[in-house]
Amino acid sequence: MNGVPDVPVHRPSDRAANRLPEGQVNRLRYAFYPGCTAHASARDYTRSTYATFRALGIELEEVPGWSCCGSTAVSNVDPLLGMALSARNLALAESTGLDLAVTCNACYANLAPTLEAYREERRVRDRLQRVLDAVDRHLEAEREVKHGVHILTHDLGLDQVEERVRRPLDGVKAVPYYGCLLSRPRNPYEDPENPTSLDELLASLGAEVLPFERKTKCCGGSFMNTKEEVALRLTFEILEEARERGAHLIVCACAMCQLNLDAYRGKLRARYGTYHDTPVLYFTQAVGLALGLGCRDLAIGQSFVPADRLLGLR
Amino acid sequence: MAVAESTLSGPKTREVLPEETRSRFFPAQVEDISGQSIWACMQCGTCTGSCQLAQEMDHTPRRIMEMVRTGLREQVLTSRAIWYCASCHSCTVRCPRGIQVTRVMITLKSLALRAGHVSPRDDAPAFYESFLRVLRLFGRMHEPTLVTAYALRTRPTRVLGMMPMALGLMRRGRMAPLPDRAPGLAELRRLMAAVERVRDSESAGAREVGIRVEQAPRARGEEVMAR
Repeated sequence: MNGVPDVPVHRPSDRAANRLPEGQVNRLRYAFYPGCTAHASARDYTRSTYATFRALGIELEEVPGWSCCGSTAVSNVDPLLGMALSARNLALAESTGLDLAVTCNACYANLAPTLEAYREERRVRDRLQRVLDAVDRHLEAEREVKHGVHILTHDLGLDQVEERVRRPLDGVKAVPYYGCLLSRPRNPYEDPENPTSLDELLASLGAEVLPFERKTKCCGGSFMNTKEEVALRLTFEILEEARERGAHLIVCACAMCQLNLDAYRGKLRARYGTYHDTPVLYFTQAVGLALGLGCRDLAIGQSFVPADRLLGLR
Repeated sequence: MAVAESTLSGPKTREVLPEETRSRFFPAQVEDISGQSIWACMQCGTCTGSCQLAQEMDHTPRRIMEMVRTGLREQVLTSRAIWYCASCHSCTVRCPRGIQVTRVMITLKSLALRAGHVSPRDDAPAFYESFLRVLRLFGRMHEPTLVTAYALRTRPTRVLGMMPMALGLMRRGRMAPLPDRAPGLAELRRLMAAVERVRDSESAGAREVGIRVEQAPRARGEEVMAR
């Protein structure tokens, strides 16, 4: 393939392999919180994140000793424990002296609001400090938590992304799916009702970005396990709108959203009689493709609905 | 349910409901844990109008807010509505009074679990508790252990229904056969114990001022794991 940079295969345990080559200017560097799905159902997300960020000159350093952030489940059982888990991970991330990058919306929606509450709500801060003291950790709360999307659109800048595009997504009609937690409950870079960063990012890759009313609607999250019928309805509505609008591609920014939208097509057909063949890529895969990275580096063949055929990449 | 129905007509019912059906301290307890001023709610119904799951609920979010203020503790904690909140925060960003309704809902779910008041028809509590147990074991989530633990707690035959998904993930290299243990697991367990201690000391304080407090019923074997 032409113009494809040589990106080594990423192994999460091998941190040195993610460092930039000698001599390359090191402009952006973050601590990276991969989240528990990183080595499992969203292995493809992690792999494409490392490949794409590296190709953009962004260095990621895995947070040493990170644990589960609790997702939405732990807060439902025990709100204080949910925040305590996030606070400990934030303290670990802070020890690297870097801002924290997160790519899973569910992790982001635990870490960022905990940091915010820690800064702004005295009572929360007191409680969390008592808990952290017990494990000899300290949280200064002077570093930021950022979602990978905003690192590309704001820290790096859309012009920088555009400059590095080698294989624009010309002729690809894409809809951005933000899910619940990228813009809510609060995100400094987004309007909670109508976020636009993913739209802009996709446009900078050369894709035709379609309006998408359900871009922030819920995909059902863990209800896929506990109330499958409800989750299938929510997923169906999202896929159906994408189909009606003629999208070739859905681009998301969350490990759980991708799985819900990608992996249940058979069940949806059985229930609603419509088969949706629109592939769902992570934003890191879409960006990586436009940068000229190969499907292997971006782990594109690992989704349930194949995207490589549609994009004419093989 | 006559009592619950009467909450539809708003604040006036608080005066006509017999004292013994209401918990005077419930509103304060919810405010304390959630950090939200539920008395700021003006019952406009924007939360209900924004909720994608409201049609599945037995009481809408607006009504839950009013039921909390009325002190209808048992009805709120045994309602199915709270388990249909997906934590999508749509209500939170639209509330004209700035109440983080999602945090109120999370509080209600945790109180229901602590009081052992969970509707047996809902599987969500079992899922959340299974999640917490796997977290205690490994410090990181392991999806196969989670869904197996959850199936065993709810409907063991579920495991069969999950096989196609498991195989699909495995075929695509998206399943980790073995759990990934977080380094510093002992520290993590100390952290969990510290959370319990903070809560216990606050419960003791709350008892002194008359707030009724429930202790979490510990799952079997959990103490052992927590060590």
